[in-house]
Amino acid sequence: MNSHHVRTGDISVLIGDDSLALLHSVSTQDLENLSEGESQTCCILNVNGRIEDRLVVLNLGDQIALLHLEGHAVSTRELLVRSKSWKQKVDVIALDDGFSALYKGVEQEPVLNRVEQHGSVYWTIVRTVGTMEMIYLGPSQDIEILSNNLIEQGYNLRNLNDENLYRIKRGHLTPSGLQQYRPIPLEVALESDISFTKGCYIGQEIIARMDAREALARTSVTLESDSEIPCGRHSLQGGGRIIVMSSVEKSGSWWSVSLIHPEMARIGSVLHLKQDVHASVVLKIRNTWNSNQID
Amino acid sequence: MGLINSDGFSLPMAVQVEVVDANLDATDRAMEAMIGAMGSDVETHVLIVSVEAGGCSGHMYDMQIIERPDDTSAFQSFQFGDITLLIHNKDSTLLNGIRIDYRDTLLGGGFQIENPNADKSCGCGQSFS
Repeated sequence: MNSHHVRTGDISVLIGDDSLALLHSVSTQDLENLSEGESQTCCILNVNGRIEDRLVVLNLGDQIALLHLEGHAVSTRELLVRSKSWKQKVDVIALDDGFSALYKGVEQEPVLNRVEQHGSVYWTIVRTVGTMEMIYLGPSQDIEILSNNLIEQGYNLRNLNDENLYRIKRGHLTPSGLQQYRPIPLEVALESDISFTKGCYIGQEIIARMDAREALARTSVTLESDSEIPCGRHSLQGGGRIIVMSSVEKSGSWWSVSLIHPEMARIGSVLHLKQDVHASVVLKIRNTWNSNQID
Repeated sequence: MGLINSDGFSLPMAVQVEVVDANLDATDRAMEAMIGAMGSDVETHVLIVSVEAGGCSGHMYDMQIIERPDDTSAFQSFQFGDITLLIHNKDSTLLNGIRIDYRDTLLGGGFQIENPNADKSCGCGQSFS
């Protein structure tokens, strides 16, 4: 857990009295009443209920900061600007240069969703799937100083490959996996990104139907294998399929976050890919991420 | 509190908005309901029909009776009898060709908008895309 990751850009700021109302109208969370000094995670969905972007929203008082967790800042900013009514006072500002975010896992039971400030750096702790992430946000030079301090304290700096591995092992999406497969939030254990009482938003019908049925057609698991499993759809020996959304190699093992039928999602289960008779890939389910999957 | 301060040079994003000369229609029932809603304010007030983000289809209609604005240069104006109806230029593409109706039913009643630009509408009739 003693590691951190720094990413520059993928930050937006909304300024104006109607910033939260605009965000509320396009996202999965009840953001209209997000108080100053609070944060919230949410998704932007398409009409099929699939994730277009995932955000951490921080109410800084005069400004609302958005962290685009999956690198989809451009499309979300455009959506916000296009969705803004002529009656609403909101400016959308892109902070792609000069601002960074630092991500660090936390183990102890923290206070979630509170925004704290020290100088020009803000931080908050949010829940993502099974983990809590501490996120610092501020000018790049200040985030770099913070990162160097952490390195001096023994924290490793995760490069992109390490970051993808960190995410996959914890059942998180990766930007490329999201872009290609666009799962539904409930499939990838992102219930905490959704308000089930806020009313209509794009994709809400799908979410409401899945929630009402209390069953998923697919659920996310973390798999380990000793040879590469390319991203994409694969048939399994004995029937069934998996969708490998992201895959990364580390020390001779391949790790992936995949979608499979909930009945097959059991920790320790071994799956065999139906590729060809000479190249069987053995996949071990290392973790499952949905609490409401079928037992 | 804020990430950027007034010393910074940060321009807000903007998109180009297409403006068309819109065409609107209203049924007799809708006009009667508008007159009923506005009462004696028809001289001093206008009805504004607008589009907002939201709803399960992405856009939602909004209707408001407001005092006649001094500056209507950003609006297109329509006259239905004594009633002035305004739509903002920004909404002109989405509202072009709409027909406003009124249904006097206990459930799902009120003003209804038939929109030829809508690919998809919500069951409640208030959201469209």
